[in-house]
Amino acid sequence: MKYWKFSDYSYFVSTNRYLLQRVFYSLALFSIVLNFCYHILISQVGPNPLLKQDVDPVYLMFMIAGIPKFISGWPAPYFDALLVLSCLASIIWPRQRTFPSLFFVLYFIYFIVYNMLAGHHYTNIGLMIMAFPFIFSGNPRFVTAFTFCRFFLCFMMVSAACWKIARGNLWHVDQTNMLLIATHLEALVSNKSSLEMNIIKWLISHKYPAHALWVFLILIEGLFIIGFINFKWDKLLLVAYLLFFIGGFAIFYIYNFENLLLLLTLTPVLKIIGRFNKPGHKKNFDNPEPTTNL
Amino acid sequence: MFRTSKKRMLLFSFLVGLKRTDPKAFLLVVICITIQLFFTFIKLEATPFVLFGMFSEKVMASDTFSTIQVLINDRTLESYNPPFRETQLLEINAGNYIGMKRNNQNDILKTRVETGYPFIYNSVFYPFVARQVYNTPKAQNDFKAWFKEKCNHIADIDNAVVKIVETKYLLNRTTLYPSPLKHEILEVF
Repeated sequence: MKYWKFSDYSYFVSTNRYLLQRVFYSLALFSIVLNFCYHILISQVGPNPLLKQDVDPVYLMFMIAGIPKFISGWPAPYFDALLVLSCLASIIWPRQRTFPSLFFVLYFIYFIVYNMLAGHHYTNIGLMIMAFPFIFSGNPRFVTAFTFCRFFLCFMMVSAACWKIARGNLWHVDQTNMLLIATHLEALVSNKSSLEMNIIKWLISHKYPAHALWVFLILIEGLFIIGFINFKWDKLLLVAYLLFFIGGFAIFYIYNFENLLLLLTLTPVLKIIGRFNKPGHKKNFDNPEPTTNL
Repeated sequence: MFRTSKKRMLLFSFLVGLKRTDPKAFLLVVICITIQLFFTFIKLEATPFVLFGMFSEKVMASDTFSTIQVLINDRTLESYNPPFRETQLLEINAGNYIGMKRNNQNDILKTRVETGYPFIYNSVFYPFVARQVYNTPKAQNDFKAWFKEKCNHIADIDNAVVKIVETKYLLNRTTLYPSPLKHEILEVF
C-alpha cells in the first residue's frame, strides 16, 4: 500500500493508543522542562499585577473569577508541581483516564494564566489541543478527537495563509523588509557580526529575495489544504511544517515548540512511532482492543 | 473505525463516518467547526478558538523605528543572558506598563470598551465586571515592585536601578546602521 486510507489511520491510532499517549506526554514533559529552563512556569514568573486580558471572553472569565491572581500567588509552586506530576502519571499509568483529564485542565489553566502574566496572547495551543483526545476512555471517541487534531493542524496553517493573503501580504514587498528590521533592530544597533546576522542583513538590503522567502512561507502554510483531502502528501506536510518552524524561528524568532506536537497526527510520524510497538513491546504497552466496526 | 469510499475527501469521510457511528460526537465536531469558522470571520478570539493572523497585518515602509528597552544598572537586559522567553516576557510587560501609563493610568481595554462598545458600557452588569476585569492604577503601582524583583533576579543584584527607555532610530539603508534620533527614559524603578 502506498499511503494510508482512513480506515488504516483509525486502526493504527486505535491500536497504538497507549504508545501514542506515552510519546505525547513525554514530549509534553519535555516542553514543561523547556519552560522551566526559560523561567516561564507560573511559580517562576510570579504574581504580575498587570494582567493582559484583552477581549477574549475566556480570559475575561478568568479575570472575573480571580484565577490568575490566585494561581500566581502562593499556590503557584503546587500548581506547577501538579502539572508535572499529572504529566508523569499519564506516562507511567496510561490506562488511567484521571491523569490525562487532570493534565488537560491544568494545562488549559497554565496556558491562559501564563499568557496573562506574559502580557501577550500567544497562539501556541498545539500541546493543549493534543492533550484533549487522551481524556476519552472509549477508543472510538479517542480516534475521533485525534483525527480532529489533524484537521486542526491543517486548519491552523491554511487559516494563517488566508489571513496573510486576505490582508494583501502576497503583493506587499515591504512586509518582510519591515518585519526583519523590527525583529533584528537591536542586533543591527549593536552591529553584531555572525553568519545569521550577515544573512539577515543581506535579506534586509535585498527586498525581493526576502519577499520571495515570505511568499514561500505563506505557500507552505497554504499547502496544508491537501491535509484535508487524503494522507497521500503527509510526508510533504511534515517536511513543510519543519521548514516553516525552522525558518520562522531562525528569521523571525517565532517560537512555537508546543505546536510541533500536532505533527504526531501525520502518518509518517505515526509510522515511526509504530516501529517502537514491536511484538516484544506490545506486552508492556497493553494495547487496547481495536475498534470493533473496522 | 470508519468504512469509507476511496474517492471521498478525507474530511468528508471523517464527518460521514462519524455521523453514522457516533451522532453526538458528530454534532460536537460540527459545532466546533462552525464556532471556529464564525469566530475567524468576525475576528473574535475565545480560547481555544483562536485566530491565526499573526504577522499578517500590513506594515508600512518606514526608515524610523522605535523600541522600548529595559536597562538594569544601565546595561541591556540581553547583556545578562536571561532565557529569550523571559526577556520577551519582561520587554512585553514593560511595553504594556508604558501603554497604560500613557493612557492616563487607565487600562487600554477599558478605554477601548468605553469608547467603542456603548452597549457593554451602558449595561447593568458593567460596573461589576469592570471592577474585576480591568487593571487599576494600584496594580500599576504594584507592578513596579514585581518588575524590579524580576530584574534584580536576572542581574543577581539586590537593588538594581531598572529603567524603561524608548529609543527612536533612523535606519541608514546603505550601511544598515540605525542611528538613535531620540532617547527617552520613561520610568526608573
